[in-house]
Amino acid sequence: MTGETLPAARGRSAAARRWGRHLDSTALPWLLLLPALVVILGLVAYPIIETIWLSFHAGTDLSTGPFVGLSQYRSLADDPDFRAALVRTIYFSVFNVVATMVIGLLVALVLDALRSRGRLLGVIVLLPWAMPRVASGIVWKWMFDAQYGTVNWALNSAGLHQFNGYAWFNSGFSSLVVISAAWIWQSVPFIAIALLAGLRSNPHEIIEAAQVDGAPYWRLVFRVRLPMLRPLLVVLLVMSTIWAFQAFDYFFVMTVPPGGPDHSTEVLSLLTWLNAFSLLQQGKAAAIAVLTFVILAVATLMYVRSFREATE
Amino acid sequence: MRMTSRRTWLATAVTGVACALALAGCGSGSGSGSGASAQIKVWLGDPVSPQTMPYVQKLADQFEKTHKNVTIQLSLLSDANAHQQYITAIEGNSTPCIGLVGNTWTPEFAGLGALQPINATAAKLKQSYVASMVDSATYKGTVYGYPYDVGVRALIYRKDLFTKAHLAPPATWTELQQDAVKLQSANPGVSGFAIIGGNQWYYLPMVWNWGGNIAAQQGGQWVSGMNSSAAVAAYQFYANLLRVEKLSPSASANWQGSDADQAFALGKVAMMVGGSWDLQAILATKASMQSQIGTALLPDGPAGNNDTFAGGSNLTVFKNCADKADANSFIQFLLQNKNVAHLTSSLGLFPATLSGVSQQQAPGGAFSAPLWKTFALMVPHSRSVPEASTWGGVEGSNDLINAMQALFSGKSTSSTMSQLASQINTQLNSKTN
Repeated sequence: MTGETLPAARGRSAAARRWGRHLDSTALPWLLLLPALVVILGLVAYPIIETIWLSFHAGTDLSTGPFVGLSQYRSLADDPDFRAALVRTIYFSVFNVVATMVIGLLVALVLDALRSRGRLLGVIVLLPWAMPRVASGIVWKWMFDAQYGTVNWALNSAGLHQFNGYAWFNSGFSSLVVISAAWIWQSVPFIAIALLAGLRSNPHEIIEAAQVDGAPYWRLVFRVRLPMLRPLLVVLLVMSTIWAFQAFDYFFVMTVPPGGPDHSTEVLSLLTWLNAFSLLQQGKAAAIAVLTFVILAVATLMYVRSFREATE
Repeated sequence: MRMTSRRTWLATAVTGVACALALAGCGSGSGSGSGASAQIKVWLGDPVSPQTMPYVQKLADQFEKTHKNVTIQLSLLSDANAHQQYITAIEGNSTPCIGLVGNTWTPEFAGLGALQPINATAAKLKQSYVASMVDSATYKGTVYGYPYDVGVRALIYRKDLFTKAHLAPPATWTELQQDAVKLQSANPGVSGFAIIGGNQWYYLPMVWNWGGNIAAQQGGQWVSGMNSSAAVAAYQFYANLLRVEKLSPSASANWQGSDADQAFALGKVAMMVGGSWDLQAILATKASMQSQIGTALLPDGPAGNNDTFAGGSNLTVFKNCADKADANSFIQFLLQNKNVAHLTSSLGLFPATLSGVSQQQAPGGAFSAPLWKTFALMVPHSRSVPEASTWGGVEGSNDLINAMQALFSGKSTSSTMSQLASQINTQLNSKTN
């Protein structure tokens, strides 16, 4: 009785098994992924879609307001404060990303050369990354204080008397110099440690082969070691650009009023915050945020494309 | 096995639902008027701080003892985020029952329809409270909050330097400028007058002193007077103290009050406009300076007044408070002079009641000494900013500060002030007032 099964029942159970296998191979992975997907969509996709949606609305005060199409974007194109902030953000980002990558690479090469002797130095180098930006912003502001700052004291002591009582935060340019210094100081550690990890992963045989061939140190670095790190460099460039575009804390903490004096340090992130939370112009703020997102997406695509072209 | 699993599942589900209900109960509303017990949520901000919060908690405990059915739940908002938290709460209909809100925010929240009107007219309240603070709580003729505390500014000066130079405290802004020049030249390393360019409250009232106004309603619209000759002259006068007369370090174009306090305490400033809290900060930094410091009424401008801004906070009841009667009882309890004065005097501020101000300057009061009494005498000379629900945008945009900084840097006065007036008009009329 137990050994005999009807052909129809045998067929059904085979079909059920096939269906079960089909479910296992198609639906089960999605079912397992579902909780994570819901979280990702809720935390990432929903805010992005909502921001894009809001940018097509009046969005003043506490309400979404009527649909206004592209008028927020058109008014931004005519807004001299926005245009100035956009140009300033691009200058700030280009300068700081390049400076951070160069300094980060130099630090990574030094740490790589020191090998195990550089462990303590590696920890010290990482410290600025661990420091909260608001706290470090306040410290940097004190350092550059016109009357009591150590920077003016040091420059004055070195014979540069024009810096005696020099007010760094009285002009947009000198304010941006200080903010850039603080931003680079804070960003270099991560870049340096990431590049160090990349350099340490270079295959020894290839490096030794280049050394045997008599390649000088810098040629070895630029022609052999860095090309092997291209994927990492692209990722770091993308991340640095995004961070530079989103730089907010140092601008907010160091300048008075935020973005001052007289709007001379306003960048896109600050302008977004100012419109969203100080002026309650949510629609305009959303439009600035969307444009920032688009600019960063284009920059990322350009990086990735240039990387592909270089590797093909 | 299957039964056990079903039971476990059922038990888990029931427990989950119960937990969800419990959590929902914990987070419900901002007060419950039904049943035997009512919870009053109170959001506190400036002038209450982590240091003074235990005192307010003590008051809440006292109130609960006499109101057995009421539970007071206090929350302290951080200064930096308070406005944003209120706006978010109003949008999400999750406001507290009571809010201690900045006086310039009160018309804004009233305009958003979030506040419960007070059952008294402005005229009636002005018999008991500082008039400028009642104005600050008034929106379209209706009062939406009880004034809690008030702070005003006066002239803080170096008495020893004035005595040495045979000078009396200046009675007018012109005299102040002349005295500052003399003091600066007679005392190398000392600035004649501290410019506080990063905070509009230290110079915006000069527009009133020159006979101008910040904005006024005309035909249902707000029209800024910042491009009037009086306002232009007032802003230009202040800018020239730094740009032309160089009576303050160049970095003071970005100074906040605390920067001027620090410079004064280090003996590097001869005069400054400062609040009683500034004087308190100076003496906290250098108590030995007390005998060297004098205070005087603010100098008059060409219009013959020395009016200054009334800073402070109002106690408001939000519309969605389910137990407004108990909320109002708690507010009246907090407003008792003894309860307010204990907190405000420790911060160098006044209770906003007229009797409270009188008590503070009477013998034995925190403001009875000549050095402090000046501030009490300045209280009647205080005014409020335009009672527009959109004033928050003017403050938030920092246009008033940016315009002054533009003048410091030498930009054209007429175009800067015209642009400022236009920006204020846009902000104030950005919705129906």
